Amino acid sequence: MMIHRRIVGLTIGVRRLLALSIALGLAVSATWVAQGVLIALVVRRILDGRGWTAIAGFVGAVAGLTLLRAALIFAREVLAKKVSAVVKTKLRLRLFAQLLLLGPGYLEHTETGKVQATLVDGVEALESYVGYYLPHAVVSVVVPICIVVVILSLDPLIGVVVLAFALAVPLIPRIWDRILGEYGQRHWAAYSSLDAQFVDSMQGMVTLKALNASERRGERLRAASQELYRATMAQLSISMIRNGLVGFAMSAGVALAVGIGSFEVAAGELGIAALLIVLFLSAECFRPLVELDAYWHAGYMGISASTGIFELLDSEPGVRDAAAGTNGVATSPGGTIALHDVTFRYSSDARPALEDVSLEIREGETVAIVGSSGAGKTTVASLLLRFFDPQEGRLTFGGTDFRDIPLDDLRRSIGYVSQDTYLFHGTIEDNLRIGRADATPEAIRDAAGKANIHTFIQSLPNGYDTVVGERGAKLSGGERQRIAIARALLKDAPVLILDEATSNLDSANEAAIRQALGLLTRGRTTIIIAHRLSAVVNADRIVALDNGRVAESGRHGDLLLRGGHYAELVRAQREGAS
Amino acid sequence: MTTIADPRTAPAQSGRKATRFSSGFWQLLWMIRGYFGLMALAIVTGVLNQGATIASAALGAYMVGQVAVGATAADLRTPAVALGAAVILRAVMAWAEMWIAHDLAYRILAELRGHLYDALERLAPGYLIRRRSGDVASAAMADIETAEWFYAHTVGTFVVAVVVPLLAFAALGVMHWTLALVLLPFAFLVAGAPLVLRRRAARQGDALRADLGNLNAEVVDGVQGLRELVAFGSQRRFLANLEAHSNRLVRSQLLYGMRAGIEQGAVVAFMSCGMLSVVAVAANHVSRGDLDPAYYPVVITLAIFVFIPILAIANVAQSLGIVFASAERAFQLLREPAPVTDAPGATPPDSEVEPRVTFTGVTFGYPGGGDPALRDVSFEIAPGETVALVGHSGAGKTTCASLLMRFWDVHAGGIAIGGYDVRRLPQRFLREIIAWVPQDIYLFNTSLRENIRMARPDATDTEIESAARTALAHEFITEMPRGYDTVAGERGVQMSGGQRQRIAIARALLKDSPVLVLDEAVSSLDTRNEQELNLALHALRQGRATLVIAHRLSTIRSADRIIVLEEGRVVEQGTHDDLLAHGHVYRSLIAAQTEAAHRVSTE
Repeated sequence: MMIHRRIVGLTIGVRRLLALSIALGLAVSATWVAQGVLIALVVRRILDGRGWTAIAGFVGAVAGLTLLRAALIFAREVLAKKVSAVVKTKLRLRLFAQLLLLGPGYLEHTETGKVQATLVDGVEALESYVGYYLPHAVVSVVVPICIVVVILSLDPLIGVVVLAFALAVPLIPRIWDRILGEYGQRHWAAYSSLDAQFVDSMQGMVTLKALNASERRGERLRAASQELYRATMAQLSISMIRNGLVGFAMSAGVALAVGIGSFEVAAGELGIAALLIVLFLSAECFRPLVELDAYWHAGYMGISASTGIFELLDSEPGVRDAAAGTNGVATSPGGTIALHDVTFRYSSDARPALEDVSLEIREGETVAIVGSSGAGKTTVASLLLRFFDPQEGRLTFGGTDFRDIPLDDLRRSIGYVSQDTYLFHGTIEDNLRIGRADATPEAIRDAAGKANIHTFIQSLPNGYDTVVGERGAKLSGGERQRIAIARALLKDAPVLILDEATSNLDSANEAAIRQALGLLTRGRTTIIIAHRLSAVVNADRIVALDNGRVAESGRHGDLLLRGGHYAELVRAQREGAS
Repeated sequence: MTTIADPRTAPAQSGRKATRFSSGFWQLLWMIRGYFGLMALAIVTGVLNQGATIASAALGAYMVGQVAVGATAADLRTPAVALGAAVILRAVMAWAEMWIAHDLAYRILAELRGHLYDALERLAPGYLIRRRSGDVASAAMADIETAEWFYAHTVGTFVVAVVVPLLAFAALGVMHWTLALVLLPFAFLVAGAPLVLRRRAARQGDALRADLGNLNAEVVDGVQGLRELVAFGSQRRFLANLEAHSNRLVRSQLLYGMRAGIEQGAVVAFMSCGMLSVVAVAANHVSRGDLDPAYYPVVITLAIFVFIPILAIANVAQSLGIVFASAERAFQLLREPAPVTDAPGATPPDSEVEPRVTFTGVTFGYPGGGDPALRDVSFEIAPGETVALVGHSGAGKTTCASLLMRFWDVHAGGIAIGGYDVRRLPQRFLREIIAWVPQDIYLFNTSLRENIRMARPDATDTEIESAARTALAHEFITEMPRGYDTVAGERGVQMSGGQRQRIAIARALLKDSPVLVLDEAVSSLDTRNEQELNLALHALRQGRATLVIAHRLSTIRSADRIIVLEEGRVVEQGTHDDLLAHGHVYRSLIAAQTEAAHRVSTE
C-alpha cells in the first residue's frame, strides 16, 4: 500500500489517538461483517421454512449493531478531525519556526507565494491523508484478510478467487498508472501550466490592455485551451480504462464467488449455509477497498503537498546561530564593527555581490555607503543583520566574529530602517510596538512624535488604533518610513542601519523624514545605505562601492577633491537637480 | 473575499433576490445548455453503470436463491451468462461514464476560462483597482476549477441517483408491492438527512473558510514581514499569534466534523433500518407464501444496493455548498458591467491623428470614493511637447493618465486627442495611439524578449533589441545568464525596480505611438541611468505629445512645461524657471530637493 514514511513520522505525539482511530475503523467494519453473517443466518432460516419468530432475535441484533455503528462512525469522524488538527497545528508552527530560522535570506531565492501555499494549503492538504487515509489503510488490509480467511475455511477455491480480486482492486490503478507512466501525468502538468498562464495574463491585464495585446493574448490562450482539451480527452480515454478495470474486479470478484458457489451447491459440494455467508460477506471484502480508493484521491493531494513541506523542513539555514552566551546570560556586543576581506555571492553561480570588501565602522561613527544600483549597498546591510554569512572573509563586532555572537544578541543591538517597510495587519500602535514589545503607550507616542508621524496618526479616524496593512488603511511610502523610524527609536539600539528609500517620496514628506532621521542617528553608530547623495554629506566617512568592490572612501570634501568615482556620482546627481 | 458594494452593480443584484446557494446552482446548470447531447450520454452511461452493478448483485443472489430451492447446474446456466454480461457491461460503463463526464466538464471549463478572461479584460483596471488584481484572477480561476466537481461528479450522479433507485424500486415492487412501500420512507430519510443539515453545513462551511482565510492572511503577513520579525526579534509573539489563529481554525473544523459525523452515522443507520424492514416484511411474505423463497436473497440484495446511488447524493451534497458559493462568486464577476464601452458606431479616424492632447474642464471621482479626484482640470500638450504633472501623492496625477487611457470616463468636461474626444474613438484604436509606462509594472512569466514583444507582436528580434538598447535595458539583459530568453519570474521578483522600469520603457518605445505617458517611469533608476535615459527619451519626444508624472526634480526639469496639481485642481503651470519665480506650490514642492542639491554642490 501507499504509505508515506515521512508523513507518518509527523504523527508523533498523536499515535495513541491514531491507534484509537484505527480501532474505531476496525469496529465499524466488524459491525458490517457481523451484520452480513446475521443476515445469512436469517435467510437460511427463512429458506428452511421457519417462521418470522425464528429470526426476530437476529433482526433485533442487527438493529442493535446499526445503532452501535452510527455511534462508531460519529466517533471516527470526530477523531479523524482531531488527529489531523493536532498534526496540522504542530506542523504549521514547526514550519513557520523553521522559516524564521532560515530567515529573510531564504526568501531571496524562493518564491514567497510558494512558501505561503505550503504553510496554509499544503498543511491543510494533509488532513485527508493523516485523518482518513492512514487509519483506513490499516483497516483495508486487516478486514479483507479476515474475511478471506473465513471464506477460505468454507471453500478454498472461492477464497482464492475473492483474494485474487481483492488484491486486484488496489493494485490495478497503480499498475495502470505505471504502464502509462509519463503519458498519464503529462496532461495534468500541461493543464496546470495553462492555468498558470491564464492567471498570469489576468494579473497583468492592465498592462495587456494598455499594450493593446489583450485580445490577441486572449485568442491565443483560448486556442491553446481548445487544443489541450482535445489532447487531454484522447489521453483520458486511455487512462480512464483504469476505472473500468476496477469496476470489473469488484463486480467480477463477487459474481465469480457466488457463481462458483452456486454451481458447487448444485453439485452438492457445498452447503447452502456456507453459500449464503459467501453471498453476504464477499461484498464486505470490497467495501473498505472502495472506501480506501476514495480516501486515496483526497489523500493524494496531501502527498503532493508534502514535497513542499519537507523541502522547507529540510532546508539548511544559511546562518547558524551561536549558542547563547555563557550561563545563558544575554550579552550585548559593542565596539567597532568590521568587515574583513568579505566576498559574498547570492548563489554559487552568480557573480559576487561583494568582493574582497574590508570596512571598519567605529563606535559612534556615521558611515555612508554609496554607489550606483547593483553596487552591493543593500548586501552590506543584509550581512550586517546576518541574514547571510559571507562565503569568504568575516565580520566582527568589537573583535568577536559574527558567527560567535548569538543571533538574538546581535540583532538586539542593531536598529534597522529598511527602504521598504512592511506593516503588519494590526493597529498602528501594534506596528510601532514591534520596536519594543513592552513599550508603554506614552513611550510609543513619544517615539512617534520624534519621528514626525504623531500628528499624522492622530489625524486618522481611529488614531493609534487605526488598522493598517493589506486589509486596512494604506499608508504612503513616506509615512511608512516614518513608522519605521519610530520603531527604531523605540528599539533604541546602539547600532543603526538606515537603508534610505529611493526617491519616490514627495518633498514635503522628505523634509519631515530628514528631521526625524537627524534625531534618530544622534549618538549611535550609524551605517547609511544611501541612494541619494544629499543624505550623506554630513557622514564621518563615505564608502563608495563599485561592482561589489570598495572604490574609495573618505570624507565628502576629500573625495570631491580627489575627482574619482564619488565625484562622478555627485556630478551626475547635481546635473540632474540644478 | 469581501466585495465592496458598488452602487452601479447594486440594481442588477437586487433584481433577482436569490440565495447564494441556488443562484450559483442555476447558473452552473445554465452553462450545460450547449452540451445537452454529451450530458445525456453521461447520464445514460451512469445509469447503465449503476444499473449493471445492482443487476449483477441481484443476479448472484438469484442464483443462490435458485440452488437453495434445489435448482440444477443446467438451470443455472442462463442466469450465469446474464451475470457475466452484467459484469462486463458494468466495467465498460464505469469507463465510459468517467470519460464522458470529464469530457463535458473540461469543455465547459474551457468555455468558462475564456469568459473569465473576457470579463477581466472588460473590467480592468476600473473594477480591479479596488482589490488586488492578482487575488481576483487567482481566486476566480480557483472558483472555476471547483466547477469541475459539479460537471464531472454532480449533475450526472444526481440524475443517476434518482433513476437507478426508481428502477430498483420497480423491481422490488414487481416481487411484492409492500416491499417497495416499506423501503420508500428510508430512501427519503437517507437522501434527506444532508438536506436537513444543509443550512448548518453551509454556515459551518462559511465559518471554516473565514477562519482559513484569516489564517492565510496571518501567514502572508508573517512571510512578507519576515525581515521585520527577525530584525526586531518578534518571532515568539508572532508564533503565539499564529497558534491562536490555527486553533481557531481547528475549532471550526471539529464542529464541522461533528456535524458531518452525525450526518454519516444517521445515513448509514437509515440504510440498515431500511434493509432490515425489508428483511422482516419479506420474511413474513415468504412464511405466508406470498413470496417465492427463491427470491428472498434477491429482495435483500436489492434492499442493500438501492441505497448506494442515493448515498452518492449525500456524498456529493457535502461539497455542494462550496461549489455553489464558488460558482456564485465567479458568475458575479462575469456579470459585472464594463466601466467603459465603445460608443455605438465608433470608428477609427480616416486620417492620421495629430499628437495633441487636450483636457477641457475634466471632473472625475472614483466610484464609491468621496471627493472628486479631479475638478475642472484643463491643459493641453502640443505635438512635440513634453508636459510634467507634479503634485503631492493623491493630487490626481495618475488619475489624469488613467482617464487619458480611458480606463474610466470623465464625469464632466472632455479629453481629446488630435481633436477627437476619446469617448468617440474605439478603445482599441485609442490604446494603439498611446504608449504608457505605468507606475506598477507587470512582467509576464515568459522570456524578456516576449515581454517586450508584447507591445508589437510582429516586431523582429533586431527591433526588440534596438528598443531595449535605447531604454538602457540591453546591457543588463545580455549580462543575465540567458540574455533575452531569461524568463521573468514570479511577478518579476528577481529584477530590480529600475530594471523593470527599463523593460517597460523598451515596450513603450517598441510600440512607437504618437502619445507617450510616463508615470514615474524612471523613479527607481539611479541618477546616472536616469540622466542617460532622459537624454535618450528626449530624442524620441520629437513629434509626439509626452505626459510625464514625476517627483524627481531632474525628471521634472526635462519637461517643456510643468503643471502643478493640488487636490485635483490645476493650481500653477509654466516652465521650471517661471514656476520657481512665481509658483508658491511648486517652490515648496521642490524646496527640499533643491536645498539638498545645493548643499551637495557647495559643501
